[in-house]
Amino acid sequence: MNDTASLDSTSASVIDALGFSAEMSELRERIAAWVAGCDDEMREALEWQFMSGSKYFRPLTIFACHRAMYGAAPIPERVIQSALVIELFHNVSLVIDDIVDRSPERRGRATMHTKFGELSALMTSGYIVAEGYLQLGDDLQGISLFSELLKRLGVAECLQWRLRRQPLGYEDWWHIAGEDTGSMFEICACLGDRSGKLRTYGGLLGRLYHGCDDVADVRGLPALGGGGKEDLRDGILTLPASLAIADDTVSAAFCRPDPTDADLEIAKAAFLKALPASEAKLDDIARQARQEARLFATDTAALDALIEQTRALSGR
Amino acid sequence: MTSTGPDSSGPAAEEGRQDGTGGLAGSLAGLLEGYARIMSQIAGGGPGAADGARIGSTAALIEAGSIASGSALRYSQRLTELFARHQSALIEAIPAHLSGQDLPPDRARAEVESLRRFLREVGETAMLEARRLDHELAQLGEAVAQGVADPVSAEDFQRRAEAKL
Repeated sequence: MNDTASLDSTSASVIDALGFSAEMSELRERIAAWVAGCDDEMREALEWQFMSGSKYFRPLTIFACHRAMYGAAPIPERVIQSALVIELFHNVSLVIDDIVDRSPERRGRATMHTKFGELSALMTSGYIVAEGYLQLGDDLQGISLFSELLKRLGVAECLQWRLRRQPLGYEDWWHIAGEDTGSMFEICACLGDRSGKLRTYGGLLGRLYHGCDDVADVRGLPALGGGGKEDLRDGILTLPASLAIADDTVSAAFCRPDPTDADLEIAKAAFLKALPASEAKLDDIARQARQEARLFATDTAALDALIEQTRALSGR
Repeated sequence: MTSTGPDSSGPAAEEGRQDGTGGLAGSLAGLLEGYARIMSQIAGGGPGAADGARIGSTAALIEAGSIASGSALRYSQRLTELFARHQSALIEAIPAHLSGQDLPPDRARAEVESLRRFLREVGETAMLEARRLDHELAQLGEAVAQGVADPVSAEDFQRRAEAKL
């Protein structure tokens, strides 16, 4: 095992550019130390999950939001601890997603439940959540924010599943993306700024991330982990889907409970056709996020960099 | 968060748009802010007093009044612009509904989308202005608090007692 959790190569340059290399090294060392101190029964699974490459985009969002509000002063202990816990909770969401989606691999590597079995993956997830709260100690604001996050993520997943294969539209996508990925980044922003002023910025950044993921999936890009085919077959309301199903023929194919190959081809072609409109929506969200950053932040450079990095994920 | 208009007329465009009622409201809001700055100086606050410097209570009340008025005007301006942007889509939908005719499903869905977008943007506009007002008043409150706090001198940090080691 390495003595630090490894960093995804694509994120390293952004972290360097924003000047958070020291904080990120500290975070990776803390994750490694935490894994090393966990129960023997769980350690192998935790090493598998945490010691592979990670984008650390959520901790980076926390640090960037802190700097945007308080300048280049050292990141306080409480904020670094929040970054550790967000990475723990994010990994819980990945493990659960992989179990539910029956995904054998994530980013070219066996998923936790494939490698260690479902029981182990589920129990390890519970263990991580409990550890996360323990790590927060007396940070009551942090505890409250993480509780909000877990509740909203749970609701969002149920909502997204319940609303599958329905003739909905962009407004529904906006709501789902805001509660799913949006809630994650909203909480990251709040954990970083500790005032709530960047909450809306975080929500927009999360929607942007969610939308870029949707678009990259349609393009077949591996940028954020893939999943386009599964989304299509399940009738998940992605950003391109929300725009494409305004057409009745596409809507009928998309909403069919047991879609034929022909239905899937119709939907796929329509989603590809909706990519320019999807990109325009993403541009609009990015513009709103930039404007929101300027409302309260004293230094918007790091916030702008996050937007640019996220926007590039659609693979335009 | 502000609006996400369907026709490239989001907040950035709103900022630059100074026509009609919106422009008038924007000008009035600017005038009020200028007036408040002058009154604040007369009342002893000095230029930029609300930006972290000390401010007297009279000046603070005048400034608070102008901030609130400016905010109300800005909110009205944004609502007017928002309505103008969605007006054609909303008006287009009314005759069809009044005549009771059944719309094709895709058109009905498009109309519902338009209405929902309009309502969301109304809510977002209100939230945005409320957060701006809250922020500006909090800054003013901080300046007032600094105005009544005892000045801190370097001597306050000079320990006289000796440490018992």
